[in-house]
Amino acid sequence: MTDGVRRRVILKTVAALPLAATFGLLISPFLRYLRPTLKPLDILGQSDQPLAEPPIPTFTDKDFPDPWTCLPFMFNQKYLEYNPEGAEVRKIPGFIVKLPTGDVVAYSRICPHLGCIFNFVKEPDECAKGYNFKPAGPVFACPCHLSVYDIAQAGKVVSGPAPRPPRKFEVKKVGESYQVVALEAGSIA
Amino acid sequence: MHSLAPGNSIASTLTAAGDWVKTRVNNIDIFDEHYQNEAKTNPFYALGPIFYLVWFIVMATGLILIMWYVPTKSAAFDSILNIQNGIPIGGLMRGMHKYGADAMIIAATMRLYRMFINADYKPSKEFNIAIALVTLLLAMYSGLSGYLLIWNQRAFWATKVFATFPTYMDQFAVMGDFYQPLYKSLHLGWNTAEVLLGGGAAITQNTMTRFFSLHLAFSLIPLIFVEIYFFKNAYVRVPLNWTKRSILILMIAFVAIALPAAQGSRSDPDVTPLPILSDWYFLGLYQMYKYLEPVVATYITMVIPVSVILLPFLDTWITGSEKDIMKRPFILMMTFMGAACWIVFSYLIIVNIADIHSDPPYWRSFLYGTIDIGIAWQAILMIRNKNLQEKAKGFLGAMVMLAYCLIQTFSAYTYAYMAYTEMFIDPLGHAALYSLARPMMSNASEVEAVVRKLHSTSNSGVPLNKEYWNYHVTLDPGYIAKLGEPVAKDDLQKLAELAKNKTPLDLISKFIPTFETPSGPNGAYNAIKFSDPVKGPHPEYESMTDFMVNNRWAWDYCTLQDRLVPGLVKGGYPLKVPDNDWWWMIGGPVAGLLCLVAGLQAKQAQAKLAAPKAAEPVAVA
Repeated sequence: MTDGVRRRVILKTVAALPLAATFGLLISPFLRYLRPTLKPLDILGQSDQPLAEPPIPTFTDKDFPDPWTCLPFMFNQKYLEYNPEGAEVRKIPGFIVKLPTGDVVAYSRICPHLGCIFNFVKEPDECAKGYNFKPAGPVFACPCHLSVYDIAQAGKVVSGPAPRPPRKFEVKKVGESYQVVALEAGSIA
Repeated sequence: MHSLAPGNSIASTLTAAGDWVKTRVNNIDIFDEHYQNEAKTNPFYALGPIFYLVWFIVMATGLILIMWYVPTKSAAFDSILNIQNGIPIGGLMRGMHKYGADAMIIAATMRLYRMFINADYKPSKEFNIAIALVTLLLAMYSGLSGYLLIWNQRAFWATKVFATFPTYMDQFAVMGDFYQPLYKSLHLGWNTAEVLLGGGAAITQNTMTRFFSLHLAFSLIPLIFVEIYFFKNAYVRVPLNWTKRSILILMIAFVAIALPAAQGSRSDPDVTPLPILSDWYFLGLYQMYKYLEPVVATYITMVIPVSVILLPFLDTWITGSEKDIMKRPFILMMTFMGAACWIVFSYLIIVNIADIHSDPPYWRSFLYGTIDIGIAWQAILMIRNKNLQEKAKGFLGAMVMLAYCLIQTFSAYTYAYMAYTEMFIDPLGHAALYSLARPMMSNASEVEAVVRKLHSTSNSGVPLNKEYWNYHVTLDPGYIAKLGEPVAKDDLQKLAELAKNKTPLDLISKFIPTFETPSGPNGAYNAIKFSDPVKGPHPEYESMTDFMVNNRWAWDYCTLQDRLVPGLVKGGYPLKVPDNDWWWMIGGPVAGLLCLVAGLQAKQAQAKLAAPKAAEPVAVA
């Protein structure tokens, strides 16, 4: 290879770098096009905690005739979003269960694994048949990847790949009624 | 004119790299256009043209389907019902579109396997594997985006799973967790999910519109490039005569009539049916997601395509220009392992006989064991080879395989500790790094005693103060004035004193940011006036000991140590390694040993070959 050719290779490479950078920068607005609601980068700032939005799901003692009565409900959640309205309301499906101890607890039905909607399975045999695990009592079980959550142990993952228990709702007793007022602190469903 | 030596070497490296890429780009083969003679006699070399032909069928039927399809949430399912049952030959068109897409995936997969088994990527055609893989992936993504358009239950939940798994990318262990806040703030996985879903966090009309556009774009944009390429090089597009083409088209039409494409039930975002499956080509992955921790499953999903792209390079290093599959057992066993895993996993999920609790040791042993057999077989071929010339060339290959075996052995070593203590990647890695730094921390055992006292590792009772690691904050006079004294203040003070102890590693910990501010996480400390209101209570790590305690690595180490002592921690620790795991755990070192022998023999052969030449100058003198 002659010196001239060698020099040309180097010069070409050097000349290509700003061009490559320019084309690289052109990609950036395209990414904004794909996902326009990007917030300004805010590493250590305030979190945008979601808020409950009426109507608040409300139940009474009559709704729970027996222990392990499980009722589905929809919880409206308002998120702060970087969009023209400044917020977005999402419906979160939930289960409210009366435990044998008399406590009433509520969980988000969104599976923490990959976002499917899990079911309430009362019979351990039914769970063993469909979800590859025989629990001690009634459980929540997800059809997608067979995660099983023990309700008696506060939603502990007893089988399957889920990384954590499902999100819990805060249930407030107002007179005779149970109100699902918020998600547990620090969580989004 | 003489240029300087460094410039010389940079230029030649650049040119060599440029030539390396240029050769491979010139050798690109998209649809087997360089094997048109072979295609006449060997149907496996017609898979590329078959893919191309079926692609046209799918695009043509797709364009016809667009006339009646309505891409909206409320109307999509009914419009498909209308196409299937109301429009004349609509069912045939939809069936040919669906089964044509399946045929493309089958053809692309078989073609990839043919390329590996016949070593079509040799010599200097390694990029073709990547191109064949991209063809397959585009076909699979088109399938995924296509079946959401039906808006049935299967599509809805498969899309949900597909769009959610990238969010686990945000939990990859990148550079340890002190940089996690920085890495997490990029929300790489979350943003990927939102881009897929159409700028939101749920499956909405936006998702459908986006998938509809991607479904078209995945075909139309590659089509432009492929057509330009074929036109520029004047290649024949489909070197099959019309009889063969008609047979293919009729096969697809026959299946479309005999097995009308399924419609499923209308999607319901509030109910996930049991069982729920994805389309057949994702079933293997779907089963893997049942077995594994989601972060690991996501990681493996990304590693599979990368390893497929790397395999041809590995094979070239190991076997050079050899093309006979029986002399390339590494690739033989690798392709066998991939195919077997995919088929068995799909079978397990279809028949629903998998046991997610007891299966993993079996398939771990199968997966690694098969690769180990391939490597051992390859090494034995090298060792038994009598040809000195060929033997001398085997050094690089033996070392590449040895490197793989060492990685696997390290995984087995780590896995043993995971099985004994049930500690996963993060805490185990912390404990391991702590044990490396421990000899340099002169008061390590005192620190551990205090940490154990404050947060017991024994799994029983309430810890004295689980937030002990936050002592910089809880011991600050401002904090105490506002929220009172912390539990076990004396011990915390002792810990704070111990953490000031200097170690030779303090230079490193000084450079690691604490990410702590006076306002605390999410403004939790806004009401507290710390003694240093500008920098906060913990602006930097005082020493490596401070880092280890503050990040709870010391506690991870204590937990690991205690769980390894029989009977100390509740829960039967240390647990047993499942018996069936020992196959792969031992397989790695054994195969590695054979590679080492092969490598040493190659070195000897090199020395023998070089010896006479080295002797010459002596003879002249």
